[in-house]
Amino acid sequence: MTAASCAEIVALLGPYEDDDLPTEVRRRVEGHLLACRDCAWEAQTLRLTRERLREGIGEVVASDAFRARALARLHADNPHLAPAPAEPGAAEPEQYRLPLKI
Amino acid sequence: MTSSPTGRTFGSGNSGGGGDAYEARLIARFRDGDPRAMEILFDQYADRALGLAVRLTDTREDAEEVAQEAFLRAFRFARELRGETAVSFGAWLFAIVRSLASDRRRQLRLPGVVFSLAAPDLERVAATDGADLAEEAARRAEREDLLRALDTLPEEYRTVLALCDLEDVPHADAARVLGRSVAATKSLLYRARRALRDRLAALWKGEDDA
Repeated sequence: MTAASCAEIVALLGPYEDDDLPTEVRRRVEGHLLACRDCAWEAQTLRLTRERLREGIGEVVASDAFRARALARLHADNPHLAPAPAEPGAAEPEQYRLPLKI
Repeated sequence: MTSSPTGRTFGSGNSGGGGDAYEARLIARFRDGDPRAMEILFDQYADRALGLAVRLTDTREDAEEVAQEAFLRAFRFARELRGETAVSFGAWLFAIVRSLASDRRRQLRLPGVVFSLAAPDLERVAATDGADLAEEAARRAEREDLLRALDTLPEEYRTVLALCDLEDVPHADAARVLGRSVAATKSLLYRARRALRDRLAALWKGEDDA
């Protein structure tokens, strides 16, 4: 492999890892990686770095307390919003009872 | 049409990150006074906005304050919008998170950890016992290396890694947050991954040499 073709392949490794290459170019990259140890190392270490980043840092999940606090602030900051409907099972307001007798 | 301070509007751009017709309808319903629309948008973005804030601030408390303030500002802006919109709510929200986190770091000027462990990691460490301890210690050391390596990266690198590789924000939305083209954002992402790899390699080499 020539140095020029290695540079070209290394430049394509980002989109290759993101599955963002046309099939023909992707095959060319894969063929090169099978034949070139340096580029294969480059591809493998980049992939490992990305995997470790995802596994090592962890997903952030907003806590119920944060959600409740933030939503309370958002409701207070948006007085144009209609009052939220009552929770299911809550007592029916007196004014909505129909004055019917069967 | 109302524009943001950066000349952007949001709502119906098809960025694949929620910036679609459904999102535009939610924003319209929110403007018309439907509280449920605001809650749906909040739920859709709460984890990712907080996730980005956690990566870009020093403590979980700071991150929650930044994320909450970003939501307040994003909805204030949405309330003032009129007519057709072009940029997704998420892109605008993430840009506010980034800006607020940057302001906070500038005010505090704190050295050290920026990328912090997510709370579940800390809970997992606390819950570990006996035979798993050595394995957990190794994993924790590896995570700390990762955090140290990340903290040495430029802010743009950390932001693009947090957006694209941790929060799975579409490239188009990440590009809007960073104020770059999609192609330039991808190029930045690839450079950031390579820089992180090189920092980690240097850390591990240093440990081997010691």
